[in-house]
Amino acid sequence: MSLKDLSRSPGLISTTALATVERAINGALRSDPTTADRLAVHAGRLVAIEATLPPLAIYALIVEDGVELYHRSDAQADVSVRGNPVDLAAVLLDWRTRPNLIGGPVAISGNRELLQDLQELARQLQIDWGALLEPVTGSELAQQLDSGARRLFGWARQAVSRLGDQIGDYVGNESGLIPSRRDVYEFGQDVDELRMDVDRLEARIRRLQPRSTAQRSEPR
Amino acid sequence: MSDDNKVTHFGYQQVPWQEKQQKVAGVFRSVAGKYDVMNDLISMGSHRLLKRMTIELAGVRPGHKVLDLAGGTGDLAIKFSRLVGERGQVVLADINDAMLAVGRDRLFDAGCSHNTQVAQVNGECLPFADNTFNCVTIAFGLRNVTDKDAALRSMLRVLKPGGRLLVLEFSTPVNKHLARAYDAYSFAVWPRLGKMIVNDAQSYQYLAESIRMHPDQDTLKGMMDNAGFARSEYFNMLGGIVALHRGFKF
Repeated sequence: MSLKDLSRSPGLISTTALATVERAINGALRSDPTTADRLAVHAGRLVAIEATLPPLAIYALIVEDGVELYHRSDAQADVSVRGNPVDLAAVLLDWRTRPNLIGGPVAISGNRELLQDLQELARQLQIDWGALLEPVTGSELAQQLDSGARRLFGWARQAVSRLGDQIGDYVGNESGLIPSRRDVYEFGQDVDELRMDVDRLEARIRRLQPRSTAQRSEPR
Repeated sequence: MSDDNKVTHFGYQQVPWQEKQQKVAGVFRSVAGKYDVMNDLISMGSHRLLKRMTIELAGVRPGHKVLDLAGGTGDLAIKFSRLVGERGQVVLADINDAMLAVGRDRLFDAGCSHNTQVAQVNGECLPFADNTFNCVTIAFGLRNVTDKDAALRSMLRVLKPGGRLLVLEFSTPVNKHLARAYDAYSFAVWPRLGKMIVNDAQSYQYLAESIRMHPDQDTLKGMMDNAGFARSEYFNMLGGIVALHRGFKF
């Protein structure tokens, strides 16, 4: 982050957004004490998440009762993850990587084991909708709503996954809008081969040039 | 003029210099128990966001020593305690024993007792050695200090070279329409809320008045410069209703 960025005050809107995300994560953790306890083992660790486009940094400090999110930190992060937002989401939320769509470069530095643990915890986080709703609806209705919410979210997760697969197949294979990773690889190989051919040709021309100049300057 | 004859403001009233401290203490003793609830109500929750911004500009790292002056109920101290980690130290300081008692309990409840200390201090003459802290913060507290220049000099003295002071305080709205709406809201609503929640309208009348008597953004920046702070600057928040001043010791 540049010196100019560091001197700029964080905006109220972005601070509100970050506070809302923090509240949502901590709310989810409160409703899933098992995951919260496993996260608390890492209390004091700092995770830096840097998106390249738009340029945005979020620092997550793990504390005993959840996480605290900041836009900036002068502290050395235990693990840093840097990449575009889609690839970051794929890494952090452990989406199944679609070779045709996702899989761009995500730079990870620092404690990779910590990152793996956090990915695992993010995947296992089970929100207890019943506990959240019980004060409002009473226990019986809360249980019904909880199981309904779990079914709904389970279905939604599968639907999103299926949709992702289908879009990936369509965009990557059928429509031809986005080249597949194999196509990109082969194209890269072709470019390399062409570059080497040009280099060889250039060297050959350089070698032939003095001979041609000498022939031209010989008296006839 | 001798100190005996000097007067200062307490809200819109002029009071003898020595009396302001006692009067301010009375205000905070009256509201300490419901201080957080009242803050949430009168600021509509925005004070929490403003404190987040303050923490982000504090640049506090593990191992740092932080002094949270006029720390009241410990909002900032709890966050700092987590940021400085096991090797760091946070001192929650306030001149008011009632506020400090609430803050100490909150620190203990938040599991921050391992790296925090609580101290009843007067900001004008801080009882800490020179060059002790990496960061000093005072959030919504400088307004109540009688001798602000002395307090700023004292804060500079206890900062380490390279350390920074952050002053979060009510200030002067930059837009006159906003200022008018804010005046109407604070004078009409705050005392009534004070009456309803803590049965004390006077304290919130004082709050509204004291904000108008507090130096505006540029004046406070000038005071920080005069005290010896380097690279002083301020950030307006909520259109200048609140300003965050920052200065460094080099």
